[in-house]
Amino acid sequence: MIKITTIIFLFVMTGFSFASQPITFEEQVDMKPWGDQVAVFTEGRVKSYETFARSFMPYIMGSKKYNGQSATFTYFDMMLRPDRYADKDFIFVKHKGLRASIATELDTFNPELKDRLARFMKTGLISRELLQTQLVQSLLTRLRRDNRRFASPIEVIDSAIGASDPRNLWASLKIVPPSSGSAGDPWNTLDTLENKEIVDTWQRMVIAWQAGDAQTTNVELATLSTLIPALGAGTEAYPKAGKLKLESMYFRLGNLTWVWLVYLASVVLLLMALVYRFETVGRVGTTIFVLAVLLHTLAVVWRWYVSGRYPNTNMFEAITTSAWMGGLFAILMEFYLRKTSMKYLLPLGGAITAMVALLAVRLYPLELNPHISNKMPVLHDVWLYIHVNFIIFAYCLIFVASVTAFFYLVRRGIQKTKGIDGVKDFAKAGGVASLVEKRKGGGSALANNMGAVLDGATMILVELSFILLWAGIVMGAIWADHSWGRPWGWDPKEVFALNTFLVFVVLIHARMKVKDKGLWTAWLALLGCAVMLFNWIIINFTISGLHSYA
Amino acid sequence: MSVKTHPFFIWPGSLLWLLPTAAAVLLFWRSGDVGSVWWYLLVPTFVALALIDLFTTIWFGITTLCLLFVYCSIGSSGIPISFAIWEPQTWVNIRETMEMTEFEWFHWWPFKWLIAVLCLNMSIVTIRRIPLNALTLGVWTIHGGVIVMVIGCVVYFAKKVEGDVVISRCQVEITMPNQETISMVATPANSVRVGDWSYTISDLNPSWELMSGDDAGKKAYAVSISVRGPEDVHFIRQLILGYPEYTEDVVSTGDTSQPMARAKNVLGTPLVDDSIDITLVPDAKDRFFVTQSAAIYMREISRSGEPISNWVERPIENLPRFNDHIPTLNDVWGAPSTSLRPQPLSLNLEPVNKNDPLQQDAVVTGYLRYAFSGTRIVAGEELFPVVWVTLRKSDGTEQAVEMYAFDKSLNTADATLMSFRWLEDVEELSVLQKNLKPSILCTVDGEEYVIPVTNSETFSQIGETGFAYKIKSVQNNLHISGIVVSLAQVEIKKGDVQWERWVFDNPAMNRDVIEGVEHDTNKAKLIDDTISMRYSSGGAPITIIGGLEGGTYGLLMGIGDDDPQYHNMVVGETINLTDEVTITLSRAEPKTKNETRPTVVPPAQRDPSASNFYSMVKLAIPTTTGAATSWLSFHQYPFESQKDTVRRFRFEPTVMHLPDGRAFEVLFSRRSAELPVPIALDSFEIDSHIGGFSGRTPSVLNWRSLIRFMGEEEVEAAVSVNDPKTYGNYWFFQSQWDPPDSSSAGLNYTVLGVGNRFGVFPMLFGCCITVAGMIWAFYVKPMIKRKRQQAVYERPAA
Repeated sequence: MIKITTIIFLFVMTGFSFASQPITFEEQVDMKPWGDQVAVFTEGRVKSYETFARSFMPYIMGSKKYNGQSATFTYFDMMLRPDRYADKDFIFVKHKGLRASIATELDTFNPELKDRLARFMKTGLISRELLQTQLVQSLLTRLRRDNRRFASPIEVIDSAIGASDPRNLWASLKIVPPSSGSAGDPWNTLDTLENKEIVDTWQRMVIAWQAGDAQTTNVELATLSTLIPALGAGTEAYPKAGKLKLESMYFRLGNLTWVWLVYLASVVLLLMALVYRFETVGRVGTTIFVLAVLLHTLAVVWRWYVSGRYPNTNMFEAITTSAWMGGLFAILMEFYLRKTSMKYLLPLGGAITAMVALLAVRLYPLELNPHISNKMPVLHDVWLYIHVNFIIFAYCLIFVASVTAFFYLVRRGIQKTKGIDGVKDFAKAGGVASLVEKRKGGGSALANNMGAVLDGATMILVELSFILLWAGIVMGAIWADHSWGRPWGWDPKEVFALNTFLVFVVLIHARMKVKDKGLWTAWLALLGCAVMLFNWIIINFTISGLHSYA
Repeated sequence: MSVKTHPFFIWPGSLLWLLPTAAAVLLFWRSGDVGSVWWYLLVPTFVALALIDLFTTIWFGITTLCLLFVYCSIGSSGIPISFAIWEPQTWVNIRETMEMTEFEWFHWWPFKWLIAVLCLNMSIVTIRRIPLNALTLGVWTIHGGVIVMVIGCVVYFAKKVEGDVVISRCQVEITMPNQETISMVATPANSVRVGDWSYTISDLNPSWELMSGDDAGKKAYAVSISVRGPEDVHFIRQLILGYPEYTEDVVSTGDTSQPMARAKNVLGTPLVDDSIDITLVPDAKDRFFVTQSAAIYMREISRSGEPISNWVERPIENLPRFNDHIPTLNDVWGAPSTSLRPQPLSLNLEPVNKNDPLQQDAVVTGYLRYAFSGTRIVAGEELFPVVWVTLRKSDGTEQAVEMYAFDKSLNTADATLMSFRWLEDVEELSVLQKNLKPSILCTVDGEEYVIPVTNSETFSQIGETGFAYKIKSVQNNLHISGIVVSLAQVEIKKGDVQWERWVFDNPAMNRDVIEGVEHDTNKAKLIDDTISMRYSSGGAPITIIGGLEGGTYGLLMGIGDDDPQYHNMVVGETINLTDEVTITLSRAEPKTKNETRPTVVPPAQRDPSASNFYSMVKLAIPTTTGAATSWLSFHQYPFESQKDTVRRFRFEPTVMHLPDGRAFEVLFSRRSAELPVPIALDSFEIDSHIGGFSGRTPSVLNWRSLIRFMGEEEVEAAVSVNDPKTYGNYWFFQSQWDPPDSSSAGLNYTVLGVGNRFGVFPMLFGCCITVAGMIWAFYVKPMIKRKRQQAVYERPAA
């Protein structure tokens, strides 16, 4: 009996162990040591291989993965086993109009491609071979003449085709640090290396890879992961091992943009606390919000460390840092307001703002590219930190203000359905003034009226963002004066920053005159936010100007 | 408070201000100063006083702000014509339609009026309705700050001059005995002649490493000049900027292992000919070129093309920038999809001074935003037949072909596929038809036999001669030793003897393949010379025929083994060549000529970032016997001559001949302005990121131009990104650079931005006190108010 039990146990265990073992080569290959320990030089930066591959592959396949393979594996595989990718759909065409044109062109003369083209329309992935057919090439030549719409997306396709060429993949893999160890000297590919041990190991690894021998591949890769960093160990050119590992980990963890889920949890709880006045739920919600901001802080600091600079030089960084500032601001204000009727409101606004921001960068990785690159020369200036931070903080507050304004409008809408006139629901003394009165014994400004509380919160945010935005614009002018030679050049981004400010000027003056102050304030705060978003999205991506890098 | 109650400042008494308003308008109008700074200071003020009650309301200010918002939006983003606001084509640029730059849109009178009205509204409301005290200090400061800022802006934008200047590392100055000193800018492949000698820049190295003495290890700018003189004299002179003592020549050694060597080692002297003095001197520039401006530059030239006057600049005022202005439709080539309509210009350019070589008006009659010069064939006087045909495959691909009958290099699309023949005589058609297919002419015992070239697997008899043949392969149009030959490899059999013969279209080259004998050593050896052969490759299997009766066209088709077939061809009709391929005669012109006109690029095909880089103007010089006209392409900089032209920029002046025999070189570029002092570029440096400078922009950390202001006292300065330098009333900025490419290591020049900045400090002061006012109004005022309330609460208690 014991024997039988043992046999069954062993059988089951073996069965489980078989089931849990990776079955394909790509699943068996362990790129982690290579990804974490080997540094690659690209465009004036040195990155861990994992980070490099993650930033490189989107040039070929956008944010998609080939057959679920990791970017680190696909890069090597495409370089070492190019035949495997012959006539496979992996080039990403983002522009939907271009996709439709290519599909229609191919479909007309190749009806057998129908299913494949339907997939292409959905996923945007198409093979290099189909793109290189004379049919598609002559179509692209024709479309390229439509400079405004197609020149740039077609250029992206061309560079994707070029990037996926195994020769280019090899030439881009600059993993040999300068023998001088100097940071100013160029890095090279393995072509130039005379270290026999590394070259032999690499060749063994390539043979094993091409033969699909995962075990040998892993052994050789692990060896190379030790040998190659040793070439630059201790020199100024080679990054510290810990930093490389942290960089890989940062990207493996998705830049911590999943923190939006933590924000979401706090939003649900804080909303319940605000609507139903559940104190305990409110405290838990605030705690989760603080936790989310701490995680967000970790993401910002982490990125700061691995990039070697404060993160505010591209769209990804501007959005995430802006939302982080909003989170910190909300915590500070909550500490100050925790005993007033405004409690939970700013954490809720901050949480919604940060959640939307992190979700946006997560959903649009191509437009809001998370990869770390060098700053453009023009950005090497102290005013980058002053001007940009003032502006993005102002923009964040404008978004938070739009959240409180939206709640105000929802409340007025509900009241209207109940036949209640909410014209008197506004903070009697405006934003900060209402707080001063409330805290120091005046007590009348908010009068424990939720409408007045929401309106007061909107005004606190509007007043602060009003000053920050104006100061930010002025500081931008000071920077532009010595950078571009003029403080103001009517660049679209400048004009729409001014337009955003004008909306708030109208808000502040209209509030003095109108009877229904709360309603006007709320609508104009929403309009200000819309103009701000227009400036950040449409002006940046559609109507380019001098500020197109952020 | 008396201001409030004075009858001149309340309705309807305030209407009296309409009198000075009317007087001011009249005076300004008569003096032609409408739109001047004083106009905007006085007239809106009188209007505001006349409507003072309106200007005292906040609603009026709010309305003005809303109008300002709308105005700014239209000028900046344009107007959307659909809800798809993320699509670029949704945005219609009203500003550009109205031919205004951003600068001009925000200097247009509606904008100035809006700003004037806003400032007056702010001032009047503040003075009349907001008593100055601690609580209102913030509002007063904000409004005061905005007005100070606006005054700063008025000064700034009224005096704004912005432009750029390109400065090279150096000029190469060449002095020869009994010759005038001549110079050229150091740019790749630049070249000059001095007497019988030519000097060409063969290499420029921006980081030449010095090897000698104390300077060893330093890097400098090195210029190599290839010098060629009479009697095959040739050497290369190497000069290093800043180190004339290291100048030396490199000469040819005749030794293949080391073709060039230092003259010092070969001849014992560093210079081959020390009477040739070549030095590197600063490329000092004393003028810059104004952004978004236009000018025509002209100079008179002799019949031999030598300049006989200096360049003179004639500014063009009010030249359009964004929209095409075509004098007549015959002036340009348009794309088929472009709808062009004539819209001539008439911008008069008067002589600027007595040195102007033309001394009469010239007129700009046309402008194209985006065009390039293109030559097309049009109907002409002389017989020069051209056909345009289109080949289409069933998979949709097509190829357009243009063939010229009388141009041997252009009368075929592919010598083995298609050609265009013009018949002198209709009889030629039957000859062509007969000879279209490839054949071999055999002569045996004086008897001639024409045998077809077919793909037969078996031998065919040649008449009753006893010889049989089989074609092994055919190779047409082979280029051998500079001649073009065609060849058929033929297997010949007679009785039991079988051999291979290479039969050429020139029978003298024929040879038989004999085992074990190399062809080259066995010229024209034949196994059996009783049979001689000549190969005729025939005509192209698709031959288009012109010159037929009635001006019609035809097609001779000899595809496959079938006999050649003839089809009539009509323009627009399609003929099947095979099941897969069709041919269409798209157009045919017997009498033609080439005509060059600007080709207008359709708006969708224009690169938005190219600005007016591809613009053209049409210049007319009216004379009593008609106007001389020409289209001129835009030049970023009006260089003096080709030898002064820096790479990446062009120097392509147009020569205009007047009926009186005079000729002028004219050039379309930008207006120039004087720099405070000449500026030279001493060096150009690059700071790079990790990995060093790769030649690509991402590796660049900073660009730095080390310049010298060459005033009475020379001042050196390092201009880099975000670090401009001041001299006189101008700031100088790092603007562009010369990146390396396949033809040069780059870094041969810098482009500096130049701009003045009057009024910046009032602007900034106004902005700063506005910020202070905001802080006071939003944060300090509530606390003061609160303290006062507290004091009221506490008083009874006390």
